[in-house]
Amino acid sequence: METSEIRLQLSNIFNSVFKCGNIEVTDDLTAEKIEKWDSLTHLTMIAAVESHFGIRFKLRELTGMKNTGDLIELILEKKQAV
Amino acid sequence: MNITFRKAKKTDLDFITEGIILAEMSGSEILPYTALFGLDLDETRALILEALDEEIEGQEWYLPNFTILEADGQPAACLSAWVEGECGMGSGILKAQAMAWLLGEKWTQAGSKLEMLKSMQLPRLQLALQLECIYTKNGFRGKGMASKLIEYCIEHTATTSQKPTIAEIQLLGSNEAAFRSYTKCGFLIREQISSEQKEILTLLAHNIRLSLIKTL
Repeated sequence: METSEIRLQLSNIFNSVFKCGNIEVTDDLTAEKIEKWDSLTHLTMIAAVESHFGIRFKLRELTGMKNTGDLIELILEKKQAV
Repeated sequence: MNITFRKAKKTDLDFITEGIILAEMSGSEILPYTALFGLDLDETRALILEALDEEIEGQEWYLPNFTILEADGQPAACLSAWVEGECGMGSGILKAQAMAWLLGEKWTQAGSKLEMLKSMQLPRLQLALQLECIYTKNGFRGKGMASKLIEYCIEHTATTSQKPTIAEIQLLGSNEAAFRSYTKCGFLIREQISSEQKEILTLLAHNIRLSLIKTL
């Protein structure tokens, strides 16, 4: 799976979870930049990502993420490990 | 009385856990973790200890963020200080992730109550020095311990980026003694939020949350 494909799929998930039609996922995207990205919608987004990609994050991986670029890297790593 | 300050150690975990619980109760009889997740006092202690053990930076429940004030060699007060957003994610998201992970089904079952609590959330100021879990042990109250600790942490909190220019404390409206103490230290109200939902008072000690700030 390519980074660009993951980014596109994440954009769909983000638009659905954060109820916004124009989110384009970039590496430096953070919660500060999306109004509806709070602690609860964040957890909904993580659950949606896990379900969509068929992966499971560890707590340490989640708390180490600084932005969406880190999330994409984690998804890539986990998909490659399968 | 001889006052000294030091970073918290693992041997302070019981003292800190007690401090977190009493700070969360905010001078009331309501323990939010009982109301939200059905945890009793021992289960709440265990949850806090587990969360501290996960060593998650950038939020209040992280042992290296705690400073202890000792009075005549005894722990008398504690507080947690960090710079909001310095680790990338906001403290609210980091703490919620840990709680959801540790609580599992109990977190999911509390969904509607957690949604209700959103009406009482005030976003923390990015890159502001956050002061939380401010607790003074019974017997040492009314002696300015919290003020001394706040002043010490403002001067001494280590940061990885530039030094913060603002310090922020959030508290519930029920905590009048704490409010007086913080305003004496020079904190002013930045923002306040209130909820009209009556059920909020079954989850929290008060329906008003305040953000106080001080320019450094």
